[in-house]
This record gives sequence, structure tokens and C-alpha cells, in this order.
Amino acid sequence: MKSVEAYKIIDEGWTKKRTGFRVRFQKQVGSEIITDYFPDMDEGPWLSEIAIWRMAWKLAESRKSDIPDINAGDLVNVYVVDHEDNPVKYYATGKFEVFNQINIEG
Amino acid sequence: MEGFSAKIAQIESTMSLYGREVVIAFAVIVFGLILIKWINQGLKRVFSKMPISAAKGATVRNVITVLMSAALITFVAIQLGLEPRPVVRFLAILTLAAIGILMVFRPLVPTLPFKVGNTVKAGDLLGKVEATTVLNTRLKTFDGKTVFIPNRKILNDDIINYHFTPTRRFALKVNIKFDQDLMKAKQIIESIMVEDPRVNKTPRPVVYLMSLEKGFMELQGRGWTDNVKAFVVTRELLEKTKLRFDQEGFALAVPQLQVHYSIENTEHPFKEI
Repeated sequence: MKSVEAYKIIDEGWTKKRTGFRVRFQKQVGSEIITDYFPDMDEGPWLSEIAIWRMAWKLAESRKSDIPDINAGDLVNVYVVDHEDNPVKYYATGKFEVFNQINIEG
Repeated sequence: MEGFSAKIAQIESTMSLYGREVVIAFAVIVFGLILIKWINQGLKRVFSKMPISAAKGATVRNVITVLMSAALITFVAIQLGLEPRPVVRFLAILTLAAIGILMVFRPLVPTLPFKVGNTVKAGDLLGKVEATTVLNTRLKTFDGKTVFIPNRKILNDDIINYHFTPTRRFALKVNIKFDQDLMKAKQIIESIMVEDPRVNKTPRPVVYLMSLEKGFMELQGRGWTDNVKAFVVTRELLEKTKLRFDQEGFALAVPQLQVHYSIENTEHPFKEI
């Protein structure tokens, strides 16, 4: 096996390099709950995991809902996703974290 | 006294003959220089909005200023009654002579190791070069200060110009106690560096055990990132490393000194009397 192949296996199988992060959240628009992202999909993602988690926390804190109700403008189920829309573990706890979590389906 | 009166009479006759032209020429020069200055400032504003570097913009402005000055001098000379052809010839010879002198002596002239727009570290100062003059260099530091550094100081000091090296190696320094899992610690530091989007894929990040002689295991993760991101990347990766080590139950070490003192067979200096 050539070193290029070996490194390719490692890159795909071990720790993956992420290319950016976004905040994924839900909000009520009219009678519907829609999913949105920060930054918008037409903008580039943020490269700093720490900065994007800080942004997620601030967004959630700024638009907190009175559980179990969601008011217009509330941002619920706020968490960070990577470039493939996979949830990212909160680096501070090492666990999947969702700010202002509300079970919408229930 | 007679000589002085004769000179005054000569000036009077010259002024009566050419006075009008001289005044007009003087007015044209003053007005022309003001106009050139305005045009220069206008071009500076236009270039600042265009996607060209500050250095290129300054060069273009200088060339335009020189051409306009030459045109002004020619115009004034013609106004004074000189023939256009010799004036143009004289200016052409002057320009060629200036270019020749510049080409011959330029390698001998000490030049600053940076250009306007470069990010440099001069002594303890890190910032962006805003302007250079014959005497000093204007540097805008990243905490917002404008510093004027004498060029002679710059020429005698070590300068780091980050323009030539777009990437930089950073170091994550972490110390752990001897009883901690070395391999696990190395794996954590390496994975934190590898997964970050701002850390370059090549050269690949590596973790070294730097020393064992300080009373702890001194680890250092090394990776490469863009110059402009290096400060933030290093601090953020260090924060992530600290938190991940906390989650994994690692005990970080701090520099310490152990002193062993044996009181057997020695005269204890502090023994009770």
C-alpha cells in the first residue's frame, strides 16, 4: 500500500476533517415550524467550532420559549451541525447538546 | 549706488516686457499643482474602492502625478515664450537621465524589506504597513495603534514579513503528569488538530513528547495554519484540548520543583534547641 492510500483510509476512517459549521434551529412562522440555519446556506459556514457554539448559545438565550409553548420568534432546538448536516458534539461537554430543546412532534 | 539703480531699472524694463507672462506662468504653476494634488487624492479614493493592492495603486498614482507635472512644466515653459520642441527634448533627456541613475544605483540603495499592505513584525510590534517615507514607516498594529518607526531602526533590526510566508506552524503545549496515559493524550491532541477546518492537511499535524526532565511529560502538538488565523486557532485548540482532557479525566501538570532533604547524619539547621 502506498502512503497516499494509507492516509486516505485514515482520513476517511479516523477523525474526519470538517469544512465548516452552522447553527441549526427551528422557529415558528405562522402556524408552521420551519428549520433554518445560521449562517444562511448561501453564505459560507463558520470555521470556528468554538465561535459557532457560542453563537448557538446566544441565539437560544436571546429567543427562549416558555416550554412547552413556542411563541412567534422563538428559536428552539438549537444546535451545531457540520458541513454534512451531522450534529456536532458540544466541545465543552463531549456530548450532543441541544439548546432550548422542545419536542415539537409530541 | 548707481549700480543698484541700474539693476532696478533693468528689472523694471524686464518686468514691463515679460511681467505679464511671468505672473500668468506663476499662477498656472500654483493652480496646476493644486489641481494635480486634487486629482491624486481623488485617485486614491477611487483605488481604495477597487480590488487592487495599496502598493500598485500608489505606483499608478505616482506615475500619473509625474506625467501631469511634466505636462504642467511644458505648458508653463511655452507660456513664457520658449519653443515647445527644446522644452520637450530637455524633459525627455532629464527623464532618461533619472531612469539611468535609478537603474545604476538602485541595487546599492538600502531598501525596506516590505511594501505597503504587508503584515510585518518589527521588534515587538506586529501590524500592517500603511505607508513608507524616506524617514519612517507607518505601522498599524492589530490593537489599533498607529506607530511611526524610523527606517534606520528597521534596517538595523530583525523583521518578519508574513507576506512571503502565508502559512505558519503553531504549537499546542500541554503538560501532563507522569502517571497519565501518554498515548491517549497524544491521540486527543492530534484528533483535535486534524478535525479543525483551519488546520492544513499537509504537513500533517503531529504530537511530540518534548521532554521528561521537568517533573512532568511535556507534550507539543504541531500543525500548520494560515498566518492570519494562527493566533485564534492556537488559542481555540488549546481551549478544546483543556476541556477534552477534563472530560477524559486527565490531570494536567504545572511546572514544579521537588526538593529532597535528608536529615539523617546531618546537622539539621532548623532542629529544636
